[in-house]
Amino acid sequence: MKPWARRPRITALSEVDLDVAAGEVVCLLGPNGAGKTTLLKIAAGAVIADAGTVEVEAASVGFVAGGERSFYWRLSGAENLRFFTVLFGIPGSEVRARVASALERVGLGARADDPVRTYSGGMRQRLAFARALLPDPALLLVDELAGELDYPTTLELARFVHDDLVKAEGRGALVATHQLWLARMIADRLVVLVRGRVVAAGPPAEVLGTPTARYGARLARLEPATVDALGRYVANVEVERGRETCFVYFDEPAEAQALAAAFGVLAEGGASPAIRLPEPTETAYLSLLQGGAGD
Amino acid sequence: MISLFRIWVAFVRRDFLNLASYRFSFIMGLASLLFYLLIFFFVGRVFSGLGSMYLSRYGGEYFSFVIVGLAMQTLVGAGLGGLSQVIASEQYVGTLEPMLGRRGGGFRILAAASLSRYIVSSGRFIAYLVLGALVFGVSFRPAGFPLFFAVTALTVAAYFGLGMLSAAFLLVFKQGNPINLFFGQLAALLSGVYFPVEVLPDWLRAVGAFIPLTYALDIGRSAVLGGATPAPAARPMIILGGFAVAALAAGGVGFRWALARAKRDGSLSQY
Repeated sequence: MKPWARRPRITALSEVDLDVAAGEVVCLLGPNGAGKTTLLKIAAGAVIADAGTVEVEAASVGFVAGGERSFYWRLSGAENLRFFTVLFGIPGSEVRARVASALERVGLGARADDPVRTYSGGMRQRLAFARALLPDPALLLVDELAGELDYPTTLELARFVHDDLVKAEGRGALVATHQLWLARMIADRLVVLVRGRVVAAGPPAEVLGTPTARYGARLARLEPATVDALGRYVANVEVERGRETCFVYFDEPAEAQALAAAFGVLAEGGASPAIRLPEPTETAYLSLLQGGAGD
Repeated sequence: MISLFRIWVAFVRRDFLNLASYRFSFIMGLASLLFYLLIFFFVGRVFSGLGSMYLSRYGGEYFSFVIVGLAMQTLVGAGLGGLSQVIASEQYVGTLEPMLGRRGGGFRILAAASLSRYIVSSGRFIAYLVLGALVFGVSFRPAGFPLFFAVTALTVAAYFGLGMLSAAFLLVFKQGNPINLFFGQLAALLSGVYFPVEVLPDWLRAVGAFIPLTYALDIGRSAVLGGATPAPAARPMIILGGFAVAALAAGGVGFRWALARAKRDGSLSQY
């Protein structure tokens, strides 16, 4: 393409219609470039849509932008928040209390006066939540809750959003994430975006299916009798024969006794201890994305 | 609606805290200003006593002539580049969207932010004049200061408008800014910051007539450095006022349009 050529227009979002109620977490799922961030920015007012409307009944909206480089690193956490209170139109008489409260809520009260450059990635993400909470928003918009955070920090923030901000305080939350486990954990509803269109929406179990755990075990030699015996306790027994070893897979039964019996059969057949396999929701999600991409 | 003054104070406070966190920045800035003045002081001594006909309208001394130009240029720089610098800096730091990521208020916030840039440049403006008078012995005409400050105010207004146009270009095209090139870099050549415009060929002086700083420097120097009867200032003042009104109107419209455009195509934080 010639450098001066006019770039083709890209429709970032089309026919997207969703609502977030008070006390509800809606998770936005979708591959990179699906339009999740654009949708959040439109809802926040940072991007103006060419067409369509965003109706925010909430008195105010809190936006947790993706990435952690959205603060003045040489200023303290408290000074950063104090600066943003002015831009958010918070009355001067309330600034001190709001800043202190927001920092306490995200667990940064003790580090309030330290420069942001001394914060860890997780602390900066928590500071982003503190900033979003400054106007006491009825609707919280979160762009990539997990980001590059480690698992415990992500889990802690997810619980904070779900348990405290949404369920206890009755706010609504629209959360964009790539993490399926996170979406399943906190979402009341999922909205899957592919190329700017909603390809699926509804409760997690409806969109991703109910997870059925599968088990797998390795055997040096698989006798037909072992497979028959296994079939009496568990469903969907599947055998994969290799050159030197065999693998056997089966669904997790509803009753623990049946699972114990299946383990017994495998042990008698000389199998390695059976292990629980990853949940199949990822497969359901990937097929949703592929279906959407084909539109 | 958020008070413009409150936003301005917030930006000033933030900039002060940021500056204070770099301990040597202020001292080094002052030292650099002093060294800069020393260069022109000694250049001025080369021409001292030669009685240049070009400088006779401004008291005859090159250093006095140039110090007014430098003082005025520092304010012009804040006006022309202030808003663009604020936007570019916030884009780089990643704070532009959190700052403007709410409905409305974007124009007021950025306008107030750019006004905060005048704190430092006003300090430099005053430092040039005070150091010039107290350290380097420049003799200013006190009676001319009311007119000088009136001209300065009009110049600041004109360049604030041009600064909004410049920021509009930044938001739309990101790099390559004709406003800064013409009214900034070219102005240093054509408006008489470093030497009297009378030394320029006629065709270049004609181009300089489209730059507000040309009029500002002419009136300002004549007011504080000129003889007992400074040159009539009414006509250039009217031209300068016209520039200010036109630049503020065009800048306001252009910047609002560019800001809305950047918000529509999602390019606000891109640089």
